[in-house]
Amino acid sequence: MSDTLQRLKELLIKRLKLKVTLEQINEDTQLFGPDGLGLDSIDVLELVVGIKKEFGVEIVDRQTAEKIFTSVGAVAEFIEEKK
Amino acid sequence: MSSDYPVPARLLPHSYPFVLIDKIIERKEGKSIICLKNVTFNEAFFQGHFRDNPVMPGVLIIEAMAQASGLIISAEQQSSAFLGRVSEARFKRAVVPGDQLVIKASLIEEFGPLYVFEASAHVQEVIVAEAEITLTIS
Repeated sequence: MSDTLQRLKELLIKRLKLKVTLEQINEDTQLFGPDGLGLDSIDVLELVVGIKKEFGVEIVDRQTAEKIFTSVGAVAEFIEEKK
Repeated sequence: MSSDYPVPARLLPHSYPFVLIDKIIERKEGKSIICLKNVTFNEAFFQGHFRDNPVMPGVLIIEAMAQASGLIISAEQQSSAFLGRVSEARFKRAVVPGDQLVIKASLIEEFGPLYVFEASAHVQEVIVAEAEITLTIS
């Protein structure tokens, strides 16, 4: 789990070009909103593609994405379950 | 060379002077497209871009790629398609009066309201520009 979380954090920063450090992201960090990472819909697509490439886990539709893309921890958990 | 496809100006929500596709050469709905844009000295932008050195603005090549991309998806969706992102854009050669711009685009990713296309522009089979275009259907 911690390995997945670490890789997911790196993916977020690298692929979405987020201006935060690894230390600033933890399991409870929200993906959206001003208090979280503030992702937009293009970032969501980029994240979906990134997760497919990095973990081989596919998120096929928007409904699934909306359900799991809450906190960084929730996304890591989903990847763990599916991979 | 005639085309079996409808005139792009009638398909696209754009109109004069902003239709940057003259003809559809080949179209596979939901998959890919090959289009043509003839670039003439009379284009208004050549007046100022540049005064003594007419070069088609790169942003207009991008716009032509975006219009070609839009023509891949259904007409219904096109009417509300907007540029969401342009990435990996490269301009390799100047496009000048007299050039025939062949624009190729294919859908590479689709997620919710977002459609991602890989697009390229060619003059005499030499690639002059390429980009990844994301359209957002609102």
